[in-house]
Amino acid sequence: MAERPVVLYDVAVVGAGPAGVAAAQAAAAQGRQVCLLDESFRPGGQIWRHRPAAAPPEAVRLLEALARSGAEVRSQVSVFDGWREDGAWRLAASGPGGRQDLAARALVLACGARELFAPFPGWTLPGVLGAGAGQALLKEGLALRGEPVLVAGSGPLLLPAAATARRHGARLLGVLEQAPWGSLLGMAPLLASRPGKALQALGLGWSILGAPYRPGWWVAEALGAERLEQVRITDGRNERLLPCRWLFCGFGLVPNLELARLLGCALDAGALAVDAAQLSSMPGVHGAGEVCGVAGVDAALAEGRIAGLAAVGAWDPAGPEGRRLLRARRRARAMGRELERIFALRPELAALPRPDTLLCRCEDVPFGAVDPAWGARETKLCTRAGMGPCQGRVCGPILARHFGHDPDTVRLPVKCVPVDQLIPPEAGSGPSCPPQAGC
Amino acid sequence: MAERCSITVDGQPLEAEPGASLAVVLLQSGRTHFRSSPSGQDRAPLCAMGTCYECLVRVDGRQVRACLEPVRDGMEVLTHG
Repeated sequence: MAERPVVLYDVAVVGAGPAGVAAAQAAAAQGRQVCLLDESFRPGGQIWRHRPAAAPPEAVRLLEALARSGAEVRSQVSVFDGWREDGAWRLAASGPGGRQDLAARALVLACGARELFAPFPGWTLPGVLGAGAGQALLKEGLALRGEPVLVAGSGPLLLPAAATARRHGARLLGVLEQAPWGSLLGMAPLLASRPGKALQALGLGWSILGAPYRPGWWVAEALGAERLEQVRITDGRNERLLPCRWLFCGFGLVPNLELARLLGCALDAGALAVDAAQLSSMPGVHGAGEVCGVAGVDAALAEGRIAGLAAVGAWDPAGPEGRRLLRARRRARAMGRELERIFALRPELAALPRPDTLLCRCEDVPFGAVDPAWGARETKLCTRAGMGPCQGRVCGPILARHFGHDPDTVRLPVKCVPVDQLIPPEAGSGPSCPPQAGC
Repeated sequence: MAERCSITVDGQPLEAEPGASLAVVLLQSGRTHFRSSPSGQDRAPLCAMGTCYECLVRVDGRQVRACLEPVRDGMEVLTHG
């Protein structure tokens, strides 16, 4: 394969959700060379995962501005390595055409968040999927005409998932919110000070009208032979068995920190630590959106724009736009922290897995295989938990919750990649041993 | 009327909209089994955003996550990779 020179960009943005798109557009509109890298085949991230004809106006406006901005968009590439070299950041990514290398003076990490799973017996059955996953597949055209769907778990993402299911023709059995009514009352002052959000919540409530919304209920078990057929639900005292083909379960979100950790960025409370200009502890590495802590699309849009401008030295916090962005960020972050408190997971959920319930789905490791005396590294070495293709992205937060494990170290590659792509292009024939090693 | 293209899934022909998500097309065709786990369990998409790798299938010889793969005419898909 012919070697291509490594292009030096002013800014490379990783992740094309609202934060990444806002950052790339803001930096490119300043006349800088910007590259936006994303794993999906269409920019927009999870919240704007619609087919182009169905995208919301806010998404269309920003994506059109991105297209006009001159930023180069590389879709379907997974960034698996990053390091500092000759005063610039280097990234290596894997795509359908093979390895891609690039350099950038500044980085914006907008890697988003993934869904948090709280396992229960049967959670590996086909038909059980994340709440965000179900919503994404429906937005991309999955039609579940008349099929029974239950939405369960916790947090503000359950309602839009349920509304989307119903809009796409599913028979919505209801929404089970594990948080009790008492906690949900905390939403009232939050919504009262944010009329836009209150209207949105009302609209979502209206769109699932007729399907029960049950606070204080959760799924205790998913049952089925080849796929999901039934769910056992409970409020801790009563139990019911519901026939069901699809269970969309979401328990919150976890920031995607693997690349940030590989680059050496400091973390704070399970999120990328950034300053007022979205700059991390590493020179020239900015972060925006869920990677800095889960706070939703409003925070992502404001922080993406701040990070994009800051990455090219054009961020003015004292100007009218700067003040507006800082206000938007402050409000969205405050709301994110409040929601996290309201939707804290109840201890009963942690008691659901049985010894044979799988903890690591990639490697089929059951809960019973983990000795509670072990730390993260021993668990990994003794059971292979976290050593499959997802690299512990699903079971890592579960191990943290159930066994108090800190995440293990990250290293190259932070995404699965064909082995031939691990070799940097300048290495020619690949890594070689020193002569005295005798190999 | 949306444009259509033809793919094969485990040797069976399937009509799909070009550019649609392969995960959606496979689920829509009634398939809920994408990957086999090490102990032989059938698995289907969990996260649908490229994180969990439960939707891993083989497309024209390459292992791909079906949720991140757009459908192209003539694509040959093997499940249970």
